[in-house]
Amino acid sequence: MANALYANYKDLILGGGTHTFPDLNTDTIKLALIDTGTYSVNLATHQDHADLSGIVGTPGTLDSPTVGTVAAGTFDAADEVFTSVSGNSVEAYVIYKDSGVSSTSALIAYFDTAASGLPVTPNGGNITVAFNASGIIAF
Amino acid sequence: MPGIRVRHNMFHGGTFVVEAGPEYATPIVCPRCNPTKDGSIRIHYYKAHHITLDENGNGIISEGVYNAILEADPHGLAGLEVVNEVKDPPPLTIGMGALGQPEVISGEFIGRNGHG
Repeated sequence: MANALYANYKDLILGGGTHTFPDLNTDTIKLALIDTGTYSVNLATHQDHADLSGIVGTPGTLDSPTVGTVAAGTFDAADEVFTSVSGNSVEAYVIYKDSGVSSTSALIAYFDTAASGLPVTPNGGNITVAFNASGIIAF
Repeated sequence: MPGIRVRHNMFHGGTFVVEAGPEYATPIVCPRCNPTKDGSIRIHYYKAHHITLDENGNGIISEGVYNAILEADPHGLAGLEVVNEVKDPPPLTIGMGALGQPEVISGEFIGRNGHG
């Protein structure tokens, strides 16, 4: 499948949806590496962190977030470095808002194709998710 | 253990693919394995690990990957043998940086939950 936004996040943008709308500029936005041998994405029904499984390592917080800086309607952040990843092979990653509670941490986007290094087989060293210069999510 | 250096005695200088683990809910048209030399489309139906082997057949995997392969093939380890521990494995990158695309070796081990 292609990279995509979760349906609930689309609804949140439009004023509906479940959970609090993520402010990508000020909320804690995290990235989780995903083993799709364990997690089977369902963009239509998965809404929050509690729906995830197969998380490899510890999700990282996206630093230096910007909205509308790279381009209008575009979210960007600094590249994310995962230190000493020792887990299973990774086929995807998910970006979500961390509310501090798994069941209210809204899922935002699922990525499994655009990145050049996917799937990645961890070697025990660091894994960097290097975002494109044009941003992470654009509307 | 930061990293585990493994070696394959038959394959070297490319990506060694080990299918060892659960069936994917959605089969993957693998961007690392496609396009293939013969133009066919390569699809992974089972959890796949892509191990980059150097010219001597050496590669580095994490403990989690090692355990997954070992679980699928307790006696053969997909033809790999453990060489030593790697204290400082080289970094890996996911992203738009143009990484090289090592040739995918056609010969491969396919083991599914130990049943080969």
